[in-house]
Amino acid sequence: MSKFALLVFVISVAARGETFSLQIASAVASQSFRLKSSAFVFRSVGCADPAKMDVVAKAEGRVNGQRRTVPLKTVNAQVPGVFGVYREWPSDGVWIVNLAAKCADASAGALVAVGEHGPNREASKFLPRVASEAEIDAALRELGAK
Amino acid sequence: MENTHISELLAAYAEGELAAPEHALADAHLAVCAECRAGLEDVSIGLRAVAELPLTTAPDAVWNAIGRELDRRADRRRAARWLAAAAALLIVATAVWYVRRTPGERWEVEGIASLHSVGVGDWIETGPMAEAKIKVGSIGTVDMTPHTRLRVITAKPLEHRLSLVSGRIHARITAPPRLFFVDTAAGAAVDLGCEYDLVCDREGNGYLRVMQGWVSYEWQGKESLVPAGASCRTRAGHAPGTPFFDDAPAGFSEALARFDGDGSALPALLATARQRDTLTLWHLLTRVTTEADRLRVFERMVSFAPLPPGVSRDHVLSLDRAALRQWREELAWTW
Repeated sequence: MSKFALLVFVISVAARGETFSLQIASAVASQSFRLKSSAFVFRSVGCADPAKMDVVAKAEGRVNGQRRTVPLKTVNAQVPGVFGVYREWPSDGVWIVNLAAKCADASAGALVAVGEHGPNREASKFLPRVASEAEIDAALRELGAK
Repeated sequence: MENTHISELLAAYAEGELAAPEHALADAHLAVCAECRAGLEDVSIGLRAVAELPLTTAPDAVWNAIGRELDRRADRRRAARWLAAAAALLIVATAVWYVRRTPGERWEVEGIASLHSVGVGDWIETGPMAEAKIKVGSIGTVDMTPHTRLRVITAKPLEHRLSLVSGRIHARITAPPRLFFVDTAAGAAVDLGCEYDLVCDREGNGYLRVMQGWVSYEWQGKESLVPAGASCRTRAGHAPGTPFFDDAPAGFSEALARFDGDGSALPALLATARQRDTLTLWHLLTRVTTEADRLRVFERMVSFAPLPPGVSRDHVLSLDRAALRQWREELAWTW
């Protein structure tokens, strides 16, 4: 995306007053060869200054009945506010990626189900806040039941 | 160390200059840090590019010319600027000369007993049972299945080019975009940072299937942009097939085959398209032959995804390249 297009995007976001949220996609959406092997990419919607957004990513899982948490690194694409998440969690058990983001005073979260070929939007949940432990447990139970 | 990035150590790590304990710690960190792995990839690419440049002494004539010019000019600041410009020009000229002059690298080959490496002009052919792997310089690998025949066309740091005559290859490339190319009788697959299968017969008929990243398939100025999870058909003497996702409904991919063949079946394509089939519909905008059909494709697309800010219906229908690109980049977030 060119700087001009980015500026237009930022202005239009501010003008429309979109709610701050996260959007996920397969790695190809980042348009960055550096992120091509990421498990998925995400970006903010409704954040006036994506470059200053704070994000935290964790893999939350249940392996042999035990809850596990693996902190994940988020890798910046060239476009501000676009990040890649790599598969750094074990292959056994059931896992989701818990994204927590802050833009100025607004928060957003997502519980992302990741399949073999990228994120599964239908099985993921998008929240106007950081996900609670209960929501993470419920999401893991739901995934485990499938 | 696991919680601290090791950016400052990556160059020494890539050059093998770290002491054993530091190397082991770096290994441990790289195993869990995708950001540093990406950084290491960038550093390695840079080091490889630098390694390709020879140390060259400037010819006497250049230095004499610089000296004479310095003598003539009283203004030392201007002379210094000229010298800097001349030096920069010399470096660029040396790099360009080197890249053009280099006859080509030799690439390792595994799996063929009588062939251990190949260079420009060499043929590689697998038999009915044999498979082979080519290490394409330092940018990736190409696996050849049985009954595959190809030739090395260019083996330079900034251009790695094969010609696939027939058979099937699986390419896995780690280099930045547009450094690896595979020509066939029906066009050229241009790596945009990816992993893909390319299959073709002697006429160039076959397909391209992408597993990671993007590939551009190009023929006579026409292009198909194929992302991971998608394919396109290739036919000799025709523009590259329109890309489609591999999980597209059968009715959609059959209609697309008809459209690519004789331009028919557009109504069936539009009727069976899903949201992520906007990949295909985006390509159709430039492939339909009438404005009425372009409008139908456009209207189907906006029923799935609105135009992004700054892109208008007029931009799209007039095939404004920047607007089309911006819309494609936005659509990719819905695939």
